[in-house]
Amino acid sequence: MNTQVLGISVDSVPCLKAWAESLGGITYPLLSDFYPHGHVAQMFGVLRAEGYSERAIFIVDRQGVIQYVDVHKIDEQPNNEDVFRVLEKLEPRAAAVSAREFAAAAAPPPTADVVLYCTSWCPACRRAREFLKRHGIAYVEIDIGKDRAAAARVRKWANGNETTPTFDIKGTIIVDFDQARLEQVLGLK
Amino acid sequence: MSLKVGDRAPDFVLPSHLGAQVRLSDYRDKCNVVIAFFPLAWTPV
Repeated sequence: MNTQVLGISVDSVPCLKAWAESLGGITYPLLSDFYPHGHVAQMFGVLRAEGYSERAIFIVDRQGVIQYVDVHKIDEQPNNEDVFRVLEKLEPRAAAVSAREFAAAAAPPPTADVVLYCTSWCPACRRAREFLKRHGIAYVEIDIGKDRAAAARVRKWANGNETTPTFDIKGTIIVDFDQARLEQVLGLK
Repeated sequence: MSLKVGDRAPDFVLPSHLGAQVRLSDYRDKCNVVIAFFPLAWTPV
């Protein structure tokens, strides 16, 4: 989910190591706010008079801005659900779509007699292009690696798979390089 | 009073139990960070 968890307490590193081991290992880093004593907890405003920190969660976004604070009841485990909800808000799926893909997604599908859905690296797609060229058939090509809206259309036609090449011949869909069917639909032979 | 939503998180560098030094600003422009303060090791809730 594009998130790094950092645990932190005023314990020393050897103490944190031993504790992590006793728990069977902790995969995220436990940071030692030991020297100067509690100085990071102090900066975040969570160092208690007793000399240890509050049980508190801060979510910091990629710009370094705090997006969530929970200074929790010290004798209670904080609720992970709240944290997940905030993280989801910070990483909506739309944010993963680049501006170019977004523009392509907004554009309507092309209208041409033959539309060839391909990827740049697929070997069968090369055969498809050669086949169409050999028969002098004009076509428009869409790279579904780049055009994710087109990829979604292919998934609809191909049982959820992004099968290439996929042909749209005036509304007739042929999934995969089915030469016999292509010749039939294109009126070749 | 703790820091609030909208505040800039202060940068820091601390040693981790996994051996490395960890600096908060290393994650800038890379990913979100969940900083989980806990009182003391060996004191389960």
